[in-house]
Amino acid sequence: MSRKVIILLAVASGLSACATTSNDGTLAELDAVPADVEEIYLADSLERAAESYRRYLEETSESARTPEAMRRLADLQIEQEYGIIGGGNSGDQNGGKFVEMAAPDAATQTARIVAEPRTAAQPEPSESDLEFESRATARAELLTNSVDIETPLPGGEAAPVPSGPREAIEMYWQILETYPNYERNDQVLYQLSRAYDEIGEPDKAMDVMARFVAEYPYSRFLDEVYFRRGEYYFVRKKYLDAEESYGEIIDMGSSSSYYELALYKLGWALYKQEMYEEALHNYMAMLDYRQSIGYDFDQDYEANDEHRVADTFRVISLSFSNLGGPEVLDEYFSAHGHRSYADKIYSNLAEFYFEKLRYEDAASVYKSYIALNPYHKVSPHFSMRIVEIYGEAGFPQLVVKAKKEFATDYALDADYWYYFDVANSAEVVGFLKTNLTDLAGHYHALYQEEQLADEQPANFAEASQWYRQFLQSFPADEQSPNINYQLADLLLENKNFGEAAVEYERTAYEYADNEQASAAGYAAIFAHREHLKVASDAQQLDVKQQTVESSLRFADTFPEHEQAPVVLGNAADDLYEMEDLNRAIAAAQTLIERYPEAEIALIRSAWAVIAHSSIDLAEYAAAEHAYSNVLALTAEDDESRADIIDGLAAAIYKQGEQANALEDYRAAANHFLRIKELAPTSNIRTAAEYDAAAALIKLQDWGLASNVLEAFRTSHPEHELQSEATKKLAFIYREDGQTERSAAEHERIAAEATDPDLSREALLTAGELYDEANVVADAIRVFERYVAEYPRPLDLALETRTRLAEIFKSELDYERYHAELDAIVIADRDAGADRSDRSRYLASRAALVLAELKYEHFAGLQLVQPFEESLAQKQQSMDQALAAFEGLVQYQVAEVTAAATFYIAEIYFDFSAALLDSERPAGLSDAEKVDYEMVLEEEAYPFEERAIGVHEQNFELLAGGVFNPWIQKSLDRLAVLMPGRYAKNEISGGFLGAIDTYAYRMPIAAPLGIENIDDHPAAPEPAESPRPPATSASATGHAVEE
Amino acid sequence: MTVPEIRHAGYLLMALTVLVFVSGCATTASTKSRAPAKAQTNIEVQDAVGFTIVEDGRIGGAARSDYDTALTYLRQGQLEQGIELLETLVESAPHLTAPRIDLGIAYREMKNLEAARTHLELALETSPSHPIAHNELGIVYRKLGLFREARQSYEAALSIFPSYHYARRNLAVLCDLYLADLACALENYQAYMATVPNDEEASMWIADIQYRMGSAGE
Repeated sequence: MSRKVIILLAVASGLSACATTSNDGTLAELDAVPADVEEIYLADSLERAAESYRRYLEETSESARTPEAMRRLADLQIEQEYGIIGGGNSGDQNGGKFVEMAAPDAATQTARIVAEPRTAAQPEPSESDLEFESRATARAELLTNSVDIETPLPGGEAAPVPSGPREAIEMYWQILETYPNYERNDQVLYQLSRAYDEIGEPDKAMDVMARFVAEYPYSRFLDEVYFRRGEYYFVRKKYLDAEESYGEIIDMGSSSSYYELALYKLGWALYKQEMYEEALHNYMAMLDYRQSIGYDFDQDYEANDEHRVADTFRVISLSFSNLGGPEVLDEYFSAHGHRSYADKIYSNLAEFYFEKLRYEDAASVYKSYIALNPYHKVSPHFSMRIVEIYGEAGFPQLVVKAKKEFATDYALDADYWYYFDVANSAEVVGFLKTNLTDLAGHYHALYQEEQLADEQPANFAEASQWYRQFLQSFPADEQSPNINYQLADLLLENKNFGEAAVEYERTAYEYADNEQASAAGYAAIFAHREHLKVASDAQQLDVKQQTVESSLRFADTFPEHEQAPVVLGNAADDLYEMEDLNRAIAAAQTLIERYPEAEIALIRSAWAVIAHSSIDLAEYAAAEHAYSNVLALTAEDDESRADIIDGLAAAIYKQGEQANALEDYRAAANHFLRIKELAPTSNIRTAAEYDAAAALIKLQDWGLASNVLEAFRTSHPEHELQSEATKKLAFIYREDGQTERSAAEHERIAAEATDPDLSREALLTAGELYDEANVVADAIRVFERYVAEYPRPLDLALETRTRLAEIFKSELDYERYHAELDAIVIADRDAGADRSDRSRYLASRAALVLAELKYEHFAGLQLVQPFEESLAQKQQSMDQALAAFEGLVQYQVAEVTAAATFYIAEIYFDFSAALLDSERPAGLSDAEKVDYEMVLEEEAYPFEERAIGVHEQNFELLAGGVFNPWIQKSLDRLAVLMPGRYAKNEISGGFLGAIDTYAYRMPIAAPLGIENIDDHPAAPEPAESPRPPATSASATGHAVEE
Repeated sequence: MTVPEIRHAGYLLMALTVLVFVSGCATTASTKSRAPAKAQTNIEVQDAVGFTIVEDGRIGGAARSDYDTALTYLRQGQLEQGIELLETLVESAPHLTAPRIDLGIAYREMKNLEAARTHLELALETSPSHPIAHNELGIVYRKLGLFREARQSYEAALSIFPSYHYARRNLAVLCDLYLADLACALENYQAYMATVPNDEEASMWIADIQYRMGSAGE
């Protein structure tokens, strides 16, 4: 503000003061006083004003305005000497503000400590209580502008009084005497008392004020006069008088501008008399008044106001302190009503104690307030101040305790926050964060101290609790990543590996812009792996799963981390162990593709994972590729090389198996044969070659198959599959039409096989193949060897002998043929328990052939002369034949029995016929010839009868359900021997003769008037072929006898 | 498929011709119009006369010619040639019954009983109530020793036309020689004699059976 304006305001203020001193004519006076707006110095202005009034008094005759001019001139003279005082500076003129007192800072500093705990850790030096009392109770300045209120006490030496004031005093007295009825004599008396005060004559001033009080009890200056009188008495320790004067003002009520000041000073007056509670009443009344006029204790005001309030709080603290301990505060408010500004009282008292190093009392005061007002906005500040106080006091345990109480009472889920918005409580939230951080760090440090090992569990629990509370309360705070990391560290140190891993992962992945993220991610994996070491068997799988997931996440999130390749590789290994094969492959593949410059061992291991996994997944082509890469990265002298080659071979071999399953035998064979080229030292190579041949056999690629097998036999002469190869070769040759070669291979199999059954079967097959190839000599040789070496199983041996017999028969080698049949019969006969239906059947067939030989022999014998001799021979042969056929019945083979029966009948019939056809003796007479013929017929007839009977016996087998060609033969013979009984054949209608129309007309059908239709066809006639029937609807159906 | 139906005309209706269609259809006239894929064999029975068999179906000229040629071979005893032609014919027209029956007869003549059986059974698949096929198959079954099947075949033929004297005699012989069922034999010989009364041989068989039955009774 410019100096010019200051002056202007000052003048305006002065005018204003005049205008408001009284409503009685002063406004008119203002009009008469010209405004001086010239830019002049104040001293000059007052002088010129005084000079103006002097000229007025000198140049004008006495009038009603004379005493007014005289008073103003006196006021100006006083003002010129001592400044603006008295009537011009009354309480009203100052807006109710008491003029400044000295301004100590300590109180306000202390108050701010509460609000800003960290900045008020150390009590600041301030005035002593004595100094405070002295200053706070000093005479108000409005009364002592230039004179120390203490010095002009009675008995002291007065300073020289200037002429101006003297003249003014004389002028005041002159007015009082000259104009006793001047309406403003109260003001004249008031100014006179002040003038005396100014010149250091307080007693005279008190006399003038006594006259004032007596003469003008309703003057507007009365309150100030009383206050001056109170101050007079207070300074002179006449506290009772002072009480009375201050009390007069208080009685006037709050309309007096000295009301608040009077309360304040009355409080002091009582305090000085150690009437603390009464003093407190007045101080409280003063503060109540302040509040009633809108004073906000939380707002900043001009220094004077702040100082008085601060001083009031301080003296209140002194009062309470003098009344007792911290508890009196609660008692006072309990007894005299609560005050909304009580927090200021409490905090001032607490800080008072703190300043006095009474830390526990200070904390106790704060605690009392908090206890009574847990949800007051200042309570967390008080709580934090307790922490600071204990800190200043050097009570670390109490600091920790206080911090825990704070962290508990103001945790974000505490009741406090039902009443306050977190968003608008940054300071409290800041306290909370600080406390949580401090507590967590404190207990973490204690946890790490070796000498506190016994307390580790408790310290761990505490640290963990506070870390977690911080993270739960402030998940997005900028400190949270670090706090989270510390929590994870704590858990790891405590060997809570699983939980540590979780927290490391949270640190790594749940905070944006966290510089420690990658380190935390890696630490998580470390924690997981530590967990694996101690996890139970039941937990192993889960922990490993978590380890892998963490590893993969780390590798994906921090691909640039130097350990990322290793982590990825380990994850791939673990996934393979867990049989999560597809993911194992994916991880390994990522490693290979993302880190081509990684260590060779790492890359090789990744390829190995892919290889093994692919095998397990039956993805054999991929496995082959992977094994090839592993092999390429494996040193020639590496111990594992052989296993890798085996793996490569297995991958290829499995592709062959797959192709086999798909019946793609060409592809299968190619795969199997590739092993020989790509993995020649593999264990499976030989089997692969063998299987290649098998696939080629399925393809019927006999040439290539036999080449492979022959090479196999040559390359691996001692291989266990040698015999199998031989079998396959035998099969190949057989299928390839090289039957004889196949037979030879079978012979080789028989010779090489250690299994007797295999050897026997191979030998039999060899014989069959020679037989099939029509290499008769070898067939006979092998079959004979077979039946000689393997009489058992009996059936096979007899079947083989039967085939041998057939071969001999076809070769017309009847001697060996019959010998073989005889061997069959004997073998069966002597087989004992080994005899079977089949052996009996084969033997019966053989015996039948041998019996037929006897029949043929018998039938070939003619009865010639000499009759007796040939008859004997034929009878002998007949007996032998009959015996042979009768012997066949024991086999109980229906067909053979029927055959034997047939032949027996035929033997009898043949003998009968032989008798009738026998050579007649020579030289018989006619009569003798007749007799001879009769005898022959008589002899032959019984044999014919017997033949018919035996045939009929055979025929009767039909009734038993037996029918075979031999029975039919007997029937045919019976049809000849007894045609009336047995020559009954079926009749057929014969060929139809028309493709779409056929008419049957039965023989007895009545004529229909159609010509050429036989009414009664002839009886059927035996015929071998059917007669052609009619070919149209006119046909009658000619009979055809079968 | 329904069971083939055969109706027999009674004496009162002798003047009327009763058409009986034996086919795969349950009814007669209505089902004819359905024109099944394979040819139908229609049998017209006249109780006092006999029966007529008509095969419906398209038969080309070449088929007719081949059939006639084959029949010529067969009648001349050139069975192999006749069979060869008929085999070709039934291959191209498997629904025809007559060539199948003729093949069955021809193969039987050649002692190839299994081939005969096959063709006759196929003929009955096409025409299940063909009395001639049943009779010819009965003969084959008997020669194969399948006496029960033979009896069923003869009886099947007789169920269509009881006076079919071939089947009646064949059933009598079967019962006489192979089933030892003299009562059956006597009954069927006598029924046979009713249709062929001047068969003296058969009358002697009847006397023989009656003798044997009497001997057995004694």
